[in-house]
Amino acid sequence: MLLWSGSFETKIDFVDRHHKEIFQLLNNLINKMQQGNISHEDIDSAVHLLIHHTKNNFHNEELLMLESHVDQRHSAMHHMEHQSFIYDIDNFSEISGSYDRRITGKVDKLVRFMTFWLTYHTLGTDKLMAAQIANIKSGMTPQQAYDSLKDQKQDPVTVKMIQDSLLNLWLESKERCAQLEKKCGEFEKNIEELKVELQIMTFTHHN
Amino acid sequence: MFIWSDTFNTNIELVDLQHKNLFQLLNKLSLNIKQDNISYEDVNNSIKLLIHYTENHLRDEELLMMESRIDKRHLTKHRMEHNSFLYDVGLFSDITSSDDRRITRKATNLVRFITYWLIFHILGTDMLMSAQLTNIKAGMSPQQAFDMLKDHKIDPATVNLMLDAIINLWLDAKERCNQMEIKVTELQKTIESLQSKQEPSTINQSEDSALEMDWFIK
Repeated sequence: MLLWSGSFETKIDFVDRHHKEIFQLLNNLINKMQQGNISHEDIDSAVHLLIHHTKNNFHNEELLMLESHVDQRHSAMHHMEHQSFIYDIDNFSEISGSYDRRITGKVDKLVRFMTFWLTYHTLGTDKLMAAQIANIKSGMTPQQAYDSLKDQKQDPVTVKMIQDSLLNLWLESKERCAQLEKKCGEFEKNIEELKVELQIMTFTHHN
Repeated sequence: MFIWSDTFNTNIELVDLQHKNLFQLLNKLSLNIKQDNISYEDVNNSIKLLIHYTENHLRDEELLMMESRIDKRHLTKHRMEHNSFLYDVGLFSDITSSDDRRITRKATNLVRFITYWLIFHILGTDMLMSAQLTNIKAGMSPQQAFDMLKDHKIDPATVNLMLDAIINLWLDAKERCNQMEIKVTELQKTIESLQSKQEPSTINQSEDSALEMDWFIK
């Protein structure tokens, strides 16, 4: 469950509204998952709605950065983070194509990934963006606004939240690596066995 | 390449010395790998030395914490981070058993992993440890020293270094996942093709019956 709190506020009206909506959609999905007798269609449409809204939010944020002339060093990095998220989330897209009981596990992973990612991205990157836009509005050049952020102190609670989210993202990836490695091992064993069987088959065939 | 700076000073002599040595070993290894005419044994030995030295260092830190009677809440978490690191390094251990050219790439991955992990761990957990040890020495109880940490502020440059290190650990793990996924798909294809070879008789049969049908229709 991703609870909205003041620390997530960027103080940009429409950005905050979109973030709240995304948090809400994510929580709705979590609630649906916790109900036992939920249909595949329901989950599927909830996932799609969530992803759709998130991509929409990225689009609007990037437009805002262009309009506000945010320094390229930030907008390029920000854009890359969005792209990387979209790439990762598309790897989860097999959810909608898998009509089986494992869907619960898959959506669970998606939800965890999005919760950690949104926490890290909203508290870190989005707030950096908001601080620059505020400084540009009050008369700084985009370059000044970007450079002034280097010395901006963050409160330890926010830093801890960002750090924990990143650590969780890392742990989830490591977990996935471990599972894939196990699968590789099993497949390799399987291949060895099949090869031996084939050899026996050709041997008996020739005799 | 990692360059030491005061940001990494914990102000505990033994710990700083060992950290510096570790970074030196890491830098030496990454230089070694870049040379073309490096022997397998050389890389292998450097890796073994590095892992051995790291294990030793982690043990020394834990001993120091126990001797200073640091708060259990910190000790448990600190130990867990060490153990999780050693587990991950163990997953790289196939480096030493792979007698082939790919050792360079594997050693590069290992160097990246240990470097990023050390940056994150020293700037985060080790600094918290050092702050507590200083306060305990100055007369605080271990509990007080631990509770004081809540107000422990870190300068923004350090925060950025630390968060970047975790991001890199995450990105490397994701990259590894992607590679494994490709491998899994390839293996699956191999299995399917082997399975189809294994049942040629059934395919022949269906072809035969199809021919019979043809003949029958004619």
